[in-house]
Amino acid sequence: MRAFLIIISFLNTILYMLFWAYYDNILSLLGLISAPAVLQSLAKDLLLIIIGFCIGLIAIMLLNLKLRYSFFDFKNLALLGLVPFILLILSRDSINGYIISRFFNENNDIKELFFYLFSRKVLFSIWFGFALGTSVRPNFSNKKLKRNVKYTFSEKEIIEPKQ
Amino acid sequence: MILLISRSFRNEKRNWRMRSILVVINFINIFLYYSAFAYFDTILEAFAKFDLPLSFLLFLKYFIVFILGFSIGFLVILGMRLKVKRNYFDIKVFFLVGFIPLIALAISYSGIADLIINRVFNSNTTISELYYYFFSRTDIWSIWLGIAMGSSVRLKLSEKRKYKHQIID
Repeated sequence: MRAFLIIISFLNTILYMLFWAYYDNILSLLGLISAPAVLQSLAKDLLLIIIGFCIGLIAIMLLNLKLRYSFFDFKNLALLGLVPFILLILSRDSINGYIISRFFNENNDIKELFFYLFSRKVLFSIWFGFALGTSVRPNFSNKKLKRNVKYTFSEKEIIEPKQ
Repeated sequence: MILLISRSFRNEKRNWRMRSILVVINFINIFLYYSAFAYFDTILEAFAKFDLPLSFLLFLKYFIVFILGFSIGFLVILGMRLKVKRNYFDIKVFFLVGFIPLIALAISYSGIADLIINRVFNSNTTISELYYYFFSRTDIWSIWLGIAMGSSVRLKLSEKRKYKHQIID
């Protein structure tokens, strides 16, 4: 099961990477080039988040953790994913522009500083996806049911063969 | 019994402190390397007087991204509190997670791809473009490779050193 999931994750990573690399070509092939720019950019970021998620999942599955049950580690996500999540939100042009105009009075230096700092969306998206992927704690051991019915033969049920 | 409990409690406390310090240092590193990457063009102006080769500057840029990825991967390992017997680097995990970016970087920078395009595809424009779009994402390959390397580190945090021979008074 683990090996199967690792292979699927690898294939997913390569496929999403291809999709991201040829994003504009695929959009024009599908006739979606006229879709809203915000939606297009969101979809592109989402692709990167999925790529990061797959990489994180592969790393976690290769660790071969011994766990009682599968769960999602929110603490890990908060530790690792909070910073890229905030940066991803701040990298949106509308939010960025609002902060600059509201607090810095359209200062050009601040505008440039913000632009350089928040324009690396590729890194934040992969980082956030990786944080999501590594927060998954999968358990691959056999399923233990809450109530197990065990059947054993009682002495009366054993029929001895006639001699 | 009480002595054993207090000793393990002390160890736990020491481990927690060490882990916290490493997490903080990692966050600072991430912030610094990210700033260096974000303002790389501005920093280059300071390097202009040294007249460094372009390939070296390019390498430096993506090496910064690689270290950024390493710090992110290492942060995951620190947050997981793995119980390992010794410190080591898991090469198997590194190659399994990082072989795709490793191959992509090797192909894009060694000239193998150009050779294949020229020899096999006779410099076909479509193939050249396809190659360019896929392999020119060096920032993604670098951060992926860094993450693979960072998450392959297995760290055993400090415990009281166990000597082979101990004199007990």
